[in-house]
Amino acid sequence: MAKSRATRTGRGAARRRSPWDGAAVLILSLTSAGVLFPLYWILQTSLKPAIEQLAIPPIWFPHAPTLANYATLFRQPDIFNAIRNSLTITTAATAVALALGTPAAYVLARTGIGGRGLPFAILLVRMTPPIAMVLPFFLFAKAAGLLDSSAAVIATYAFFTLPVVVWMMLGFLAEVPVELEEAAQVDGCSRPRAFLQVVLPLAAPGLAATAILTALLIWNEFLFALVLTRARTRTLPVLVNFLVTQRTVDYGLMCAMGVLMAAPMVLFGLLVQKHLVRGLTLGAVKG
Amino acid sequence: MAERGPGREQAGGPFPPVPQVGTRGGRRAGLLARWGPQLTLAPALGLLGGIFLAAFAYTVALSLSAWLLLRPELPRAYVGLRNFQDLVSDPRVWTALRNTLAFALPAVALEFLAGLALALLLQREPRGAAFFKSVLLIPLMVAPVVTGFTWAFMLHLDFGPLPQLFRALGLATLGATPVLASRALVMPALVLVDAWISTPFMMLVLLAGLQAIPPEPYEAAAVDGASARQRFLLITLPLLRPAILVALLIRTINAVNFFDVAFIMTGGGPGTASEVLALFNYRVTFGDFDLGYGAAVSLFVLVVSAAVSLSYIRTLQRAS
Amino acid sequence: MRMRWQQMQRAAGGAVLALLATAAIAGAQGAGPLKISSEVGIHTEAWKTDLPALEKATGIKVDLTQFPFQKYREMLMLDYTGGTPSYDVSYASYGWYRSLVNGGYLEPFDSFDLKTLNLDDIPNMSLYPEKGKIYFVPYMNEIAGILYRKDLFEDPKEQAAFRAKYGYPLAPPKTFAQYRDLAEFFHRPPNLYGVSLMGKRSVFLTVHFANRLWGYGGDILDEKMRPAFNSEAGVQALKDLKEMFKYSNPASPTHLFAEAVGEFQQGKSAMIEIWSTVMLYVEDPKTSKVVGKVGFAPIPKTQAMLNKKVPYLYIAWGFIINKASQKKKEAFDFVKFITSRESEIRTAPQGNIPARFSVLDAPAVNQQMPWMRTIKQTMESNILTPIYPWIPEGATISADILPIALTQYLSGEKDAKPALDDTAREVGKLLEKGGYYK
Repeated sequence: MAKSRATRTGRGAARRRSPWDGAAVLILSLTSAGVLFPLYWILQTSLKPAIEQLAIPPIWFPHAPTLANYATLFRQPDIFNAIRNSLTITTAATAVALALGTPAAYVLARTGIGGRGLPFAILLVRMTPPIAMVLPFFLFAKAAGLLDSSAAVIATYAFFTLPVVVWMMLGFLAEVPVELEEAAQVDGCSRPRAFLQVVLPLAAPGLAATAILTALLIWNEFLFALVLTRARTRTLPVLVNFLVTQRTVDYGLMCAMGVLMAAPMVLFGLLVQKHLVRGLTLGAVKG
Repeated sequence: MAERGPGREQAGGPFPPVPQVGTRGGRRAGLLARWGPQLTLAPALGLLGGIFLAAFAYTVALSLSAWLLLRPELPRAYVGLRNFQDLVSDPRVWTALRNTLAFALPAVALEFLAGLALALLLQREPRGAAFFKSVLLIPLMVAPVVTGFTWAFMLHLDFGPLPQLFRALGLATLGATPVLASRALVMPALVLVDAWISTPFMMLVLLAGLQAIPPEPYEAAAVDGASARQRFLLITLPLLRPAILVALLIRTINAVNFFDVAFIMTGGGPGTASEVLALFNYRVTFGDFDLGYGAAVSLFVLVVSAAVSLSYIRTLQRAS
Repeated sequence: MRMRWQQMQRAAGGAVLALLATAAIAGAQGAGPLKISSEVGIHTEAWKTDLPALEKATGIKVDLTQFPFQKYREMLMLDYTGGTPSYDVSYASYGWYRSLVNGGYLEPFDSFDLKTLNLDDIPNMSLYPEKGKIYFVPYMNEIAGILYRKDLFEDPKEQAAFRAKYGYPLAPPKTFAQYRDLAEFFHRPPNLYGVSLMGKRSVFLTVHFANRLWGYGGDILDEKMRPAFNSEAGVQALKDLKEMFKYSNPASPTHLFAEAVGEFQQGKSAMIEIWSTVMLYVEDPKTSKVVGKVGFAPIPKTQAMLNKKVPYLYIAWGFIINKASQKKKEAFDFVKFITSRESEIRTAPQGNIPARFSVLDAPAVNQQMPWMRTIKQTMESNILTPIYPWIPEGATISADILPIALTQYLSGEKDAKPALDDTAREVGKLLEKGGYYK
């Protein structure tokens, strides 16, 4: 497999140590601290007992850290339902989007159907304001009796992430050299089988990156979840928003909720960071 | 290896010839071989295209009619272009457009400059590069709902750390102003929050672009004795153009549709100081419940997005 | 091998279709409990406590979905007007049900034995009938008012200092001028603020504005449905409101209900301009530091109108029945039970301001909450006026459009008259579109 240029050494910058390297580390450290601070803030607030939350001026590190807010959070009647819904809907919609989008991207990569126009058409879908789509989707779901059904939400999310999947997988699949699958076909493999057994494994990191990015978009999505779900299928972002706009102020609980929502994606992203970075950049640059 | 991807054409056509699958298996195989690609494309693109076109057609039809959800007894009449005429003469639309541009342009510019700086720093592969890349990626992972709530909390005069920080730094007035209720400060605040969220994306795209630049031009420049600045302006930037275009395009489209965070932090206030197009659209659709007009506004936003995108593409193409 | 690929695709397609079909069938079946939608709030928590009694008495089981207030109106509009009904009964604001009536989405209570509801016991019922039929039965009525710290007001040291400074005794305000004096007197930042206000762009800010607008003789719309809030009374009301913000927390412009009430509950302010429900919040020892220290006073008036009836803000929430419901009789029985005198007496102490006058007066209720009687008296001696103009667009005007003018002035973007004028134009256009000026 041909190495991409990115992994070759000797790109633009000189390799000798220079004062810029130290400065780079410093600047990057400061930036990282700035990036992490808001998350630190909600984390530490979530661990504060009630009296400390309303202290003025605010306390920057809990004097008496406690898990009480998390206990309250998990006593909220809908919380486990929301977690389960977010998990199932995210997994299912990502799977559907990948299953539909990857073969399509493969065909586009190998045959060039659509040429220049198709990618721009895909971009056009992304440009449409989500709110314009909300009403038709809502009315259709209601008419079909599919409100508060996971099927409608999953189908909607699959629809919205298809462009992302196609766009990204197009870049990754185009990278896989044709010679390998041609060789497989010479050996007697059908095209689909060559795709599944030769091409896909080689594009696996790209597939993983696409899956992660797609899951991320779906896990955090708010507007469509708000309109299409009701009590049974409510997802975490909607529940977070509902809790935050309650009639009483409980910062500890709200921060615990925020941590709960952010933590899985952050951890997941960190674990597979390398693939994600490669995915975000390769998909984007080649597009 | 030749670069492949949508819209990228090299001499001799971008794509390899389709392998001779059809020579095996006879006529049935021939039919499948000929239409196989289209069949595989059909579910995905059929779904995408079909649903999108249906929703788009619905929106267009809605924009040509009057449907006041609050007055269900009134008929949903066809009104032709009246919604669009109203749109053109509605001062709220132009306020929203102004707000949107006042948000999107500084935000994208700031993110671009910061992203480029970070990318250049990371390109040197300093110690801990992998760690920094992981950390800097985090804002992209956090849901806008959570981000909006977190920053609103941090800016709270009584309970937030930022006003406290401002006062400690000697910025007494800033530390005593409720930022999200100040018409002067609310937009800069939203720009900063968006920069927190989206600079990582810019940085990654530009970093990938930087890493894709071959060393040859630099080697040639070194032979010619070019300065660092010349190398940057004459080699790096031009060769970075595709990455820049992609990054700017995607980011600008998102910035024009900025909604979740603004909705949670300000709701469009104070007054209409932070009422960007998406918030105005929301107010028309779910506040006035004037669905026909809301559809017209949506189409207007789409036109704005497309116009900005096209202008980017043209500018960057012309300069190449 | 080629065939397998095609088979896989067909199977996948079939699976998706099957999934959708199953979901559709599952979604369409709705048998079982009575489906009710409501907001997240203390009043709902109150009537929820009587659901076991309901089930015991009538056998009705309830499946309740709650939405936060900010989202509830749009959810209600979407759910009722989109076709298939999601709920049998909804607990909703008085400002929202009329468009649903006009669209034919609600069942009148007249279809059942209306007399058994005993509606004479509820004030202002004359407001609600549409074309002679009742579509809305109130459960909760509340009024605007000023909650004040009795402990501060009855403190002899404070009384002496106030008298010395202003020349009259320290007492709950009867006039706007006294209200301002009290706010100024008690404004001792950062430990104590004069008054808690809600300055974020929302209907709560409209409440502050309306309290003064009506007190000064103005109104939101005139008899011809034209905007009237940009009158002199309106301009004066807005200016006086801005003055009051001087005696409140500087963060007030970012405050909504939760922050203002939280502030008062923590003892950080001497007064709060709010409505009667908050009396229930301040008496909750789990969240309030001022239990037993709070009194309720009616919204002040101008000197001239002191003994006259003025339009006075009141808010009602109640029940509506979905016309497309398959369980309309059960829905009626539910409403009859929950809004009955006995049930309201039980649920009032759990967090409700009951709609029935007889309950406001009931000894069982008054023993714990003597201020309920003050509420009844205030209601009787004023003209109860809804915060929303009494048309379907009313909620939009008060909650979405008017706050724009108010925050534009409060944030210094525009002057009072231009801000109100511009917004009056916008309201005018909305009503013109709705055909009110033909």
